[in-house]
Amino acid sequence: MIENKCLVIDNLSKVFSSGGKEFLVLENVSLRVAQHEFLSIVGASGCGKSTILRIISGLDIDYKGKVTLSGEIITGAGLDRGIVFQEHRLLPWLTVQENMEFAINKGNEEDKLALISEHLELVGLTGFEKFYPGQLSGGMAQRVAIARALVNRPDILLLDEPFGALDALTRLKLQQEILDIWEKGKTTMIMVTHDIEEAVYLGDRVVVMSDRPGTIKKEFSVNLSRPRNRSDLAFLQLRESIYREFQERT
Amino acid sequence: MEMVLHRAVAYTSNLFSWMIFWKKIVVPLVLLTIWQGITASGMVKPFLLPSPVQVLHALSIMIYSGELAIQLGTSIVRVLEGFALAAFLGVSLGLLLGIFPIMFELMDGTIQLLRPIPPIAWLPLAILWFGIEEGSKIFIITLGAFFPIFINVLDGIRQTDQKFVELSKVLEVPRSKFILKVIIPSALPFIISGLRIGLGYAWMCVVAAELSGGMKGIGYMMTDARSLAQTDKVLVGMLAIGAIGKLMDSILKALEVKIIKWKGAFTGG
Repeated sequence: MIENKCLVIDNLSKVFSSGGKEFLVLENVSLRVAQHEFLSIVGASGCGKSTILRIISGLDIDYKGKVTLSGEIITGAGLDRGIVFQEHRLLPWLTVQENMEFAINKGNEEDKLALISEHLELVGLTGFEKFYPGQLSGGMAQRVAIARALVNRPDILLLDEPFGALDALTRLKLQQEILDIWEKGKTTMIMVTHDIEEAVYLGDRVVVMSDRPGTIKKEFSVNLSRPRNRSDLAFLQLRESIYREFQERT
Repeated sequence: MEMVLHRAVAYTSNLFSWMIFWKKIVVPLVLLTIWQGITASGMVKPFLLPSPVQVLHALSIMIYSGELAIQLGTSIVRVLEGFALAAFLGVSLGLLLGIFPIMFELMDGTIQLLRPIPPIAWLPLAILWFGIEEGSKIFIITLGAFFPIFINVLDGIRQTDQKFVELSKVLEVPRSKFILKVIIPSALPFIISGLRIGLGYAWMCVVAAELSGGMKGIGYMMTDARSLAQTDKVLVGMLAIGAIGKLMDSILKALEVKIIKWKGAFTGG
């Protein structure tokens, strides 16, 4: 059963063409993500880690290799995968409520309203339905984006540096919240980040990527029980070894 | 003590608003003074440039007799009719070409070929087709207002943020919802500036068309006054055209603020 909903990436390569030149962005990336796993992917900017998420989400379907979800090859976007981008991407002319509605394309009004209030409550934003994105703080806007990505109950939630643009305190708070959401639900989560501490704090596994071309350099299992303590010795040691892996450039 | 303070505050705020008002009228006042000075000195003949006082006098006579209202009314009705038609055509064709690439490929070349022809150059043909009065005037106005509206609508759609297009793809948003909730709202500021520019063009076109022919409207009134050597009436016409044009633009500008209220929140006012 559990194997059914797992994501399998097999020998994934991706080439970008620009000005007649070709750039190898990803080379032979293979990954397996089990159901309800939290996977962190860390890498320097430009290593193609976001490209992996774009391919999983179905936004980019021009690749070599095989990417399957629940045994089926990904050929385009689908509601079984939700994505949170670095920027909140809320439509500025719609209220929070309307932005949530924008993501729901089926069901009657009553079901829609129930889904929206359930997910706004999940991110602690009940009462902000009538607000426009311009009236929200960065953290609140990103919470709405998370609620919107979850509203169709996807099997996998893809997080593309979702907290990268937030201040340090808000970032810590949202890390905790996304962890709570992950523990409550059954959603598989894949987060791309360049923050090693964030990757270790959240992930069951941390995948370290090299850049140009992006390949998987090493995988770390995070065998620390939750709630994790960022100043725990084991935590710090793991963080340190991932950091060292980063430093060793070829 | 408190009273004194209140008075002082009231006094300074009065002074402040008075200063803003003063700034707005200082340039027109200087120009009027120079104008009055030149005409009073006898350097130019009143036939070429009547004094501001003369123009004011002509204005009051024309207001009193109702002539100004009738002629202006005729022109304004023409503009509103032509502009309404242009807004409808410009917005719908802009949306059609912006959303469906096949429509763009089919029609854009032709539209771009017609665009450089000045609206007034259509007048001889328009008079043959639609007669000298309403028909040809409205045709010219519609033509003049259409292009800025159409081009802005198309441009607005082209400028839709790619990020929102991706978002809609990921959320599998149906096409009709995508057009209504993403394309149109994001193009709306462009559409409204297109309408504002279009209305300005419409007003210029009606005057140009009326100056070139016909027996009604503010433009006709000016040609008629010139042939009777009533230069003060010509100037009244020019000032009225300026005032009405400004008024129309102000109304659309106020409407823009009302319609795009999210933008006020977005930029923090």
